[in-house]
Amino acid sequence: MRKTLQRLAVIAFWLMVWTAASLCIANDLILVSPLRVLLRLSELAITVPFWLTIAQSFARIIAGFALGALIASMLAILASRFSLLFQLLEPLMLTVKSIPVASFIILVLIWISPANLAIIISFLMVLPILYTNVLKGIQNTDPQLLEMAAVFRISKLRKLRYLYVAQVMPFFVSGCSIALGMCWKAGVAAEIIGLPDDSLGEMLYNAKLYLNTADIFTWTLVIILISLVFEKLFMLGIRLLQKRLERI
Amino acid sequence: MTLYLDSAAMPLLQICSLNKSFGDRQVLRDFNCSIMAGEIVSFAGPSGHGKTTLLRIIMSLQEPDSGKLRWCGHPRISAVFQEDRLCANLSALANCLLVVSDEERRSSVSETLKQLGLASHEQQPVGELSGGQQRRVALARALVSDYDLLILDEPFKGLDPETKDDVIAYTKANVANKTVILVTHDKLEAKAMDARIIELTESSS
Repeated sequence: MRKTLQRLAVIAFWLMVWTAASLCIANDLILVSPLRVLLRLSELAITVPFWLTIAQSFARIIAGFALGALIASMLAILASRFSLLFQLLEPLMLTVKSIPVASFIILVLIWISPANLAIIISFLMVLPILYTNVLKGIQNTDPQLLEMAAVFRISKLRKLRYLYVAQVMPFFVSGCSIALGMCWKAGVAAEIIGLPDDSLGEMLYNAKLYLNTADIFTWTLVIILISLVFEKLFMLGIRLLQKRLERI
Repeated sequence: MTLYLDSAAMPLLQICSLNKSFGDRQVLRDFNCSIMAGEIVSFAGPSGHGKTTLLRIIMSLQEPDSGKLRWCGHPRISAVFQEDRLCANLSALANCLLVVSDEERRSSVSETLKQLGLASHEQQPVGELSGGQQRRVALARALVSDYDLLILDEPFKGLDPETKDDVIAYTKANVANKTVILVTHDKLEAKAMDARIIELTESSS
């Protein structure tokens, strides 16, 4: 309860700073007030295209995230078993991690249609992060527990479910937390460059084109809110899944 | 299913001329012994004389430098390790169920935990239990597993004297007619378990 109050107080403080700054500047073209953003949000929220835009961008970015998480986890499992694959993947993951997002966006845009750009970019953001984290989790699995499993002849499936999952989960969760944030940033950046129809990126681009600062702030707030809500729900889902998996 | 060809005549395990070194330090030197089926044997001796190494070799977790282990059949092993080796996130019950395969034995897990004074901690994650309670969970896990040879590496360490007596009595009653290898620094524990004591001395280590 005290923590919640503290958090609310921090939010209120920054909202006051924002309001004060917008009052001082007194120019909506440069900085709009939080109230103006809320009003614009309430106007947009009652329209169908608003929700359609969110749904389309959400589906693209999360599809890229899910695909990335799945493939990264599978590759990490295989790389932990086969050192040749680990050696092959090491420079690839390092390269993907080092290449600037903008370079990826432009390059991928040459190969595929703008509609699918955000999926590929989100995927590429998630892949090296989760691959590294899951692999680290597998490599950090307690060897004493694995010896215990060998002595007690615990089946491979049980070992995977009760030993590996528990050991890898903290690494997977922290990787997901970082990757989700990156996905939204890079995914929306990809949409701004690729401009697929009815996307969050297109809305931000148009707002910038028509110097509609209120819309820029509103759509940015929408992106922050969706990514935060999704991250919380995703982490809750992971926790519930882990609890279910730990039940014997 | 019995695994013994002729358990009355043949030892379950024969250890022949076992040698093991770690760098310059030889922990086992030409060690020999036989363990009969249904017998309780206690390896005794000061720290660093290779007791745990010997257990690790018996459990196939370590290779000897030379020497042989001759088994009668393929006995299933259960163990209390020197460390508890429990899954901290799982409950006491789940840790025990992890090593139990058939439904019938699952029902005995709760009873074993109860007998070891852990009834009220059955559903608690092991990571939240005290050291002594965790030790008892490790012992319960070893006892409920389906085994022919039970290996106990200092199974009663960290238990308060009163609890220890109860736990030893329960363990002894549960391993009747089973083959047990016990490692303990406390000869009273070995005597309480009616174990044949084999000293690991300088000559063997």
